[in-house]
Amino acid sequence: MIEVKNLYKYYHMPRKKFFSKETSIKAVNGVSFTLRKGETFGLVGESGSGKSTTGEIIVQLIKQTSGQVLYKGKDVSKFNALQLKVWRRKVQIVFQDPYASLNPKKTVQWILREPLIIHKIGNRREQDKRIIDMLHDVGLDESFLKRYPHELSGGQRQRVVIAAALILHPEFVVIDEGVSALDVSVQAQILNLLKALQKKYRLTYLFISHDLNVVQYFCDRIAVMYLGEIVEMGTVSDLDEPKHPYTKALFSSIPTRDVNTSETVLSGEVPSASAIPEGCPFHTRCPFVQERCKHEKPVKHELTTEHTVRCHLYD
Amino acid sequence: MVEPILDVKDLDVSFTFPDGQYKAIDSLSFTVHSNEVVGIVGESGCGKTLTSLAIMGMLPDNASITNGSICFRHKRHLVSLSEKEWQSIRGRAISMIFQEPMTALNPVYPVGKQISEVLIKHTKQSRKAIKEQTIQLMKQVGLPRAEALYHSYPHQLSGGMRQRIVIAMALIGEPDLIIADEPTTALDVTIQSQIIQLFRKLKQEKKVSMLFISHDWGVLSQVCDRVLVLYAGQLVETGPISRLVDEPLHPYTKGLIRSIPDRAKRGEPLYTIPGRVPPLKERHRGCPFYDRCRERMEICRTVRPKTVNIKEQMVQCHLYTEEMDVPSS
Repeated sequence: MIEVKNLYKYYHMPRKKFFSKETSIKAVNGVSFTLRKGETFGLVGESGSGKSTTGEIIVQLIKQTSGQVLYKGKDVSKFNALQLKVWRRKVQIVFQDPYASLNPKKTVQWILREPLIIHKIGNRREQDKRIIDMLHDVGLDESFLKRYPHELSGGQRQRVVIAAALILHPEFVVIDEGVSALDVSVQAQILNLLKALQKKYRLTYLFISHDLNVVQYFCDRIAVMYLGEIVEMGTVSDLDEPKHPYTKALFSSIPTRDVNTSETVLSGEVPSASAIPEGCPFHTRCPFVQERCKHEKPVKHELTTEHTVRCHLYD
Repeated sequence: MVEPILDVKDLDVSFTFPDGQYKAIDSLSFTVHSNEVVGIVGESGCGKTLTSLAIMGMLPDNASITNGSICFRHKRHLVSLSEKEWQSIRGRAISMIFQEPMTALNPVYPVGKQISEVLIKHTKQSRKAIKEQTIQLMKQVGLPRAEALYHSYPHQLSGGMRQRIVIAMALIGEPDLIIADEPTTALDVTIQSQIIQLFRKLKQEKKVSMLFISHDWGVLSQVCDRVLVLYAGQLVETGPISRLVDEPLHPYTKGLIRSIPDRAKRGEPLYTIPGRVPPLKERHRGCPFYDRCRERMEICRTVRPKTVNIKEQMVQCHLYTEEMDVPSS
C-alpha cells in the first residue's frame, strides 16, 4: 500500500569556521520497505537510529532530502496542497506523550470535532454522532465529552489521542512510541484496543518503538534500524532467530527473568550520526568484525523472500 | 538473625490538602539487610517514589510522616532528625540515584568537578588526591577515557555515560544504602544491560545494599533478591523475586505479570487489569485493590485483609489464610 524507496534525510550543521567543511547529520540513510494493507510493521532501534524521522517523513510532517514515499504508486512529496489534504485524511500519527498531543484548553468534544470541521465532514448532528461512536470504540463514553485533558488519567488521554487519530477513518496510522509512557497494565489495555480497532477499521500500522517485548508481541513484520539504515528485516517469526549481529545483541539485551543469561552485552555506544563509521556502520561495536567490514559497505541479502539482512557474514 | 540495615515499621505518609489529610502510604513495613537488593514495583501513583523520599527525608512540603518509624542501622530513627543531622546521613550513609541523569547533574559544571564536589564535602584531602580519587571512581563505574571525560559537561555525554556519573557520585560516601529510582528506565536496552551489569558488579564487589525502584520485571529479576509490590500505598505482596514471578499470589501481582507483552503471547489479547489506581481521595476502608480485582469477595469491600505468610512470601489478601500451605492457584 505504501512503498518507501531509498529514503535519505540529512540535516546540515552550521559551519563552525568559515573555511571548515560542512558537516551533516545523516538521520535516515537509504531506507526502503513496503507496507501492506492491514499489517502491523514494527520499526525498532536505539535512540538516534532514525526510526521516528522515517515515520515523520512518511506522513510528510518533514520533507526528505531524497528518495520517495509512494502511495498507490504516487509520490506523496509531490502532492499539491489539495492532494496533501486528502492524503492527511488517510494517514494519522500518534505520539508518545498523550498530554503534549492534546490542547489543554479544549474539551474532548472540541478536540474530536476539529478534524471533522477542517475536512468539512457532516453537519453538527452527524459530527456529534460520529464523535460519540468513536468514544465508544476506544472504550470511553459520553461523560467524557465535556472534560479537559488534565481531568483524564494517562490511559484515558491516550484513548482520546487514538480517537482523534481515527475519527477521520484513516487507512494508515503511524504509532510513534504510542504506549511507551504508560504503566504495563494500561499499556496492555491500549495494545488490546489498537488490535481491536485494527480489525474493525482494517487499519495498517507503522509501529515505532524501542520496547522490544512490545514489538515482538504486537507486530507482523519488523525492521531493525541502526544509524539510519535497516540492518535486518523480516516477519516476526524470522526475527525470533535474528541473523544480524546487531539484532542478536539487541534482542539478547532484553532483561529477562533468567539471571544467568550469557553476557552478550554490547560494549560501547552508538556512534554519532554526524560521524557514521565507514564501511558497515556497526563495525565499531560488532563482535564478529572482519577487516573488510571497515571499508566495504555490506549489501542487502535475501535469506528468504521476507527475511533480509545487511551483513558481510552472509556473503 | 542479623540486624537489618533499614527497618521501616508501620509507616504512614499523608498529604495535607485544604479539605483534609489523605494517606498516600498506609502502614508500610519492610526491611533491607546488608548486601541485599530489594526491589519496589507498582504502577505510577502507588507510592514507590514517595517511600524513597520518606527514607531520604525529602518529602514535599505538604506531605509528612504521620505514623510509624524508619530505623537505619538499628539506632537512628530517621523520622525525627533535624536538617543538620540529615546532612550527615544523605550522601554519606544513604544516597540516591534518580531516573533522569540530566536533571540530576548541573549543566554548567564539568562532570569531574561535580563528582569532586561531593568528595570535598565528605572527605578532607588535598586537591590532587581528590582529583585522583574522582578519576578512580569514574573508572570503577566503567567510564572510558576518564581523564578526558573529567572536563566534559553533562550535555556532551550520552545518557548511559551520564547515568554512570550519577552512580559514581552516589558511591562516593561509601553509603550503607543506595536508593535507585528507575535508574535504567530512560536508557536504550543495550545501555540498560550495561548498567545492570554495573549494578550487579557493585553488589558483588562493593557489597552495597540497595532499594531498587522499577516497573520492569525483567530488570528487577536481574538485580534484586527480594521485591515489594506496592498498590495504592500499601504493601500487598513481598517475597523472593523468582517466587513472585513464577507464582504470584496476590491478584494484583498476577495481573502485573500477566499483562507484560512478549513473543509467547503473540496473537492473543493481553491480560489486563481493568480500571486504574484509585486517586488519593477515593481510597476506601477495605482492600485497596477491591475495585479492580477479578477474584474479589464481599468481605474485601469492607475489611482490610491481614498479612499472611505463605512459605517465603507475604501477601495481603483475603484469598489466603495462615494455615494454607500450598496456594490455590
